[in-house]
Amino acid sequence: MTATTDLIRQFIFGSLREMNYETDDIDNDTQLGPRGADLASLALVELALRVEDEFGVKFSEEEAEELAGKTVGEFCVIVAERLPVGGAAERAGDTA
Amino acid sequence: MSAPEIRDIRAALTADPDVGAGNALVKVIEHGAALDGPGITFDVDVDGHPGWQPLTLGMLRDRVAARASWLHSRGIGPRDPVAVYATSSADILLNFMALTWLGAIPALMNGAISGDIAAGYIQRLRGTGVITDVAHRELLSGHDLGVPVHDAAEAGTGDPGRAPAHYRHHADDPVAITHSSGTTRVPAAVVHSHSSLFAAIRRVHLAAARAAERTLCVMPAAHAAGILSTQLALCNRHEHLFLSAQDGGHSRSAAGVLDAIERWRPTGVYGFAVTWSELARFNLAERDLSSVRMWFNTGDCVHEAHVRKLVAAGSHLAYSRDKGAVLVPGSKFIDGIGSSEMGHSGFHVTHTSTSNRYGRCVGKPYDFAQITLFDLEDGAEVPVGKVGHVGMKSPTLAIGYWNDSVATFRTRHQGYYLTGDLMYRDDDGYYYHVDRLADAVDLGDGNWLYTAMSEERVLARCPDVRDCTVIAGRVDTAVVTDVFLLLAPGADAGADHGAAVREALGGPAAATLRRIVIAADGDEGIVLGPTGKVRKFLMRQRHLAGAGAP
Repeated sequence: MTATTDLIRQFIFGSLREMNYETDDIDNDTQLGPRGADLASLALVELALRVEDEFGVKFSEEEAEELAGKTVGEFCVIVAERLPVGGAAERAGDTA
Repeated sequence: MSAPEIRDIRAALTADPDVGAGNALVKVIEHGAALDGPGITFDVDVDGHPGWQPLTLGMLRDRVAARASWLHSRGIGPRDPVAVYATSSADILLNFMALTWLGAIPALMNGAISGDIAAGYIQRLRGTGVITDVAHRELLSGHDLGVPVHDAAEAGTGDPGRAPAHYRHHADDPVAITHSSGTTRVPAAVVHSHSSLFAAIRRVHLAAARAAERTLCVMPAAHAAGILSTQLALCNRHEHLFLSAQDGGHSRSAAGVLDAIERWRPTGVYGFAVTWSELARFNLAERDLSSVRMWFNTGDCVHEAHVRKLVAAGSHLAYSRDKGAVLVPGSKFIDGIGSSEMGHSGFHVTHTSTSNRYGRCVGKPYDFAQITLFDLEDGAEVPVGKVGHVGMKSPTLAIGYWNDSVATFRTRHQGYYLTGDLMYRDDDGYYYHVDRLADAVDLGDGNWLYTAMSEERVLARCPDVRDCTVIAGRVDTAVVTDVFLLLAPGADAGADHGAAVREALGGPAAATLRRIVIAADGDEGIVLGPTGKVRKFLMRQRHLAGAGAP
């Protein structure tokens, strides 16, 4: 699980950099919303969509709206728990 | 204003325990919002400032201070209940903020209320004044109100520099009296506190991800939801246009709403259920609604047939590796059933063009709300799948009914507020609204006729029906049901809907069907309240008790 969440975390940080967010002050305990990284609403949606596309997971509309209150670490765990059985870590590894 | 500045303001507001509905405007300024940033935009002139031109935050503060100064010079001060009875959203919201500036208690009244009912409501307030525009002063003429009547336009001529210091509110102070929609009864005066009317903004909206939103409010301003949408926009530093009642009131305002969307280009639109029903009359594909990413409903739960048309319009963000993040057609619709007494939506569910959770699903409770469904016969919680009375505990709850302890305590049960709604919940924790208690009819042997759920089923089965109202009640010893259908444009008025309606009502309820009436827009048979909601109480009186003949 730890290796998988590490890969997910790397992907999240890489995505944020591609989206022109500074990641130097963001760590595992940083909330994604206004009490932490302060991702704008559209950026949060884009991050969720990138993660869905990369890992083959799906978030409901309500879950996507509630990501603002999750930390980076909590988000990684949520994604890891939903990974399709087999191949997920390998897919993540391909892009890490 | 930069993203870090907005972040700091939101964080400061969240951390400041003294912020509430009575002082949000001055607190936003105190915590660093730029005075040249967004205030509110109205569609009417404000003290010579043209309609549709944004009032900056500084201009808004001055217009509010001018009124506070003028009202203060008329002797209005802390704890004075003052009614506001006017048409324009500017008159209502600016006087709301001016009265709370003074520590007074604004009693906001929907301008669509008739003069006779308004006069009775004002008399029962036992207040110290009324603020009206010219049209509403005429409606009140001939009534002995027992209090001074102030002119809304004149109040704007006060000197902002002479406004007294802003009142320091305690969390429990009353800051507004709003009234229920009067769907099932004469409007009740609902009292909100400084903290209750801000609790959801603090817990939900200031904790949500920051967004450069541009919002449009098409709800009537004189309701709790009108105050909430305005304060939400101020605290989140959104551009916010507040439409006034136009074109014959909110129940007939869809054309004005579409024009406003094309002109203001909002990302979010706030409305009551009647607006979505009215918008269903139009071919939305012919209008440019591409700016809208979110529709937000509060008040009554919305019917699927109306939501599906809206989520097909507008736009949302999609992502692909080759194209990146792009806006594509299709918006989301957030349905948040709520009421004046609940002080905010209590539940929320999000619909999109690809979602499929309907059947009057109202979603799940907000985190701040504790919901229990009660069987009031034995006072216990009902099991999953069984319909019960909605009990709510929430920091958003109104503190009671003004001058009416009987109603205040009648609606309390085991520490919960009874909302008057009937719902059931499923195994996944989703709640489903079947009816208002006052509208549902006990058919005996454990069978009930739920009018709202019946309407949902009729609309789902009959695409040629734009809207539907089911009225049921006892005539002598028998239950009879009348179904009123408003047909979609171009529909065949001679088509037989009998089989579909009976199927929608289901077994025992179908046996009570007396007649199906094809109603026309503006038909006097459909009785609407000031918010555009159908007044079933009056319709029962008119159609069931009075008229025995079909």
